[in-house]
Amino acid sequence: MAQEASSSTSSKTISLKTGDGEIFEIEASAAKQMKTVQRLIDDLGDDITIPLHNVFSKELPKIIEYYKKDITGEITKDFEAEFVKDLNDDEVKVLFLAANYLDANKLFEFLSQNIADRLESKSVEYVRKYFGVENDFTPEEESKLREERAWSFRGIKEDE
Amino acid sequence: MVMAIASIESTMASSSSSSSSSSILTMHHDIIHTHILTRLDATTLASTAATCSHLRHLCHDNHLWQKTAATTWPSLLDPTICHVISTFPNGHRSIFSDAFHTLHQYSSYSNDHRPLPPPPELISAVDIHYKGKPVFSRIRQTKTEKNMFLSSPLWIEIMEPNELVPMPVKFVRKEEEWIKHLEDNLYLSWILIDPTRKRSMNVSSQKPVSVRRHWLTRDVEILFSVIMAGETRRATEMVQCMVKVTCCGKVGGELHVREVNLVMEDMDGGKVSGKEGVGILMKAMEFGERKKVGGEGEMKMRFERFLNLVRERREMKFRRKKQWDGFSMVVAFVVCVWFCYLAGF
Repeated sequence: MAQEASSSTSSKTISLKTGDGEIFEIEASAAKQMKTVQRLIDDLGDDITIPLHNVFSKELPKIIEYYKKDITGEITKDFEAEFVKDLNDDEVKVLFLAANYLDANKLFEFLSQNIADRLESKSVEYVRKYFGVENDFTPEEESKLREERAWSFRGIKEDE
Repeated sequence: MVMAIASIESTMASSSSSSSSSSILTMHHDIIHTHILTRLDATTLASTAATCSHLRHLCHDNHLWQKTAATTWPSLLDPTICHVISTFPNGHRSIFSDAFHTLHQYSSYSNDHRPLPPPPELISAVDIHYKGKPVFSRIRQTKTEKNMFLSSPLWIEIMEPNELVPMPVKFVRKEEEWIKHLEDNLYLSWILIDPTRKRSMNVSSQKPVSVRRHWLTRDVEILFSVIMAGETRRATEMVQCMVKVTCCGKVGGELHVREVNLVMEDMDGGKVSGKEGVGILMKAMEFGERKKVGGEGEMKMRFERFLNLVRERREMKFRRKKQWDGFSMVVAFVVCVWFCYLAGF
């Protein structure tokens, strides 16, 4: 029975170990969608636990959840909306960075769009905090910039 | 993406800190540029450019602005226009600062500034949106140095003769409701571009100021108008720059656009000539303010005020003419009586 299970690739699971030492199982067909994981499987074999130094136990389950749904062909707009609904901005950023590391294209594209949507019409200060950058303009430069983008005012939401 | 990933893997593999505290900017610039900045709308792109010098540098790529300009105004996808705008000092960014909002120009500058020489050509980029989706986009290049153009009334027609373009707008029977529906859901942008001075402006009220059925042809006429200052102490002290969209169709079918044209009217209700019209447009483009229209229905109010002004001037002229006619008759009568007296009757 065990031999049958291991010879059928569709039900084979791969073990992934996060940077903080936790192990998660994922189906081989879902792992295939993450090119980094697939490359590691090709190099190390599919029987050992694949180490993912830059993905942690907080985000990997969410990524696995996405691809579990993907392999059954059930990703709809409603699912995607639900997927990000309870995530705050930092959580989305972390997932985005992880999806990039894992070369998980579909999730990465979806999260890119979600980040763009979250930034839409937000104030300059909000965008600064989001990208984690400091204002390095002089007062003269700032006032020149304000003038240049005066056309875009009155569409900006208050900081949330 | 794969090449960028290789570089990121090497950077990130060496970092042992938790990914939740790393800034998004530790990623390769290409990723931010290709995957996030390309998805931002114009307003958000402008805000992002104002955050820090690094992001400002990334956001100053004209391709980003070209993309968002084409999303806002699909007519700007035209290769001729694309090329012209790319020669502007700020590229496609300048279209936003010059033409995102409608032009407002109320004070006449004719005494303060020398008349500006007319450009050899003006390019019009017209886009109509219905329920937020683009349904009609067209450009037209107009040679403004020909005698025929300068001496005739100002008229820029976007469509070809006998052309009909269908719009996904249903023609319904209940007129009042339908007219209100069109007023609420149609949006027109008419961007006039001066390739010589590298400026542009939006001469449409953006939302309709009037929707009516022609009494004879039953065609639907949708008007978009902007009032601007012209030459002082003349009938063109204030002028109306009017875009008229004429549509036809059968009840239950789709609306078809037959004509989309731009004309200019003076305070006497007459048409402004090409020469004078271009002069007024050039001054507006150079000195006019671009700002968001204040309040719902503001442009419609201005349109109606202008119509009243034209009506009042007409009535005043008519009264003056009547008075003058009356006076002339009295003088003629007096002269006649005097001649009769002299002749000894």
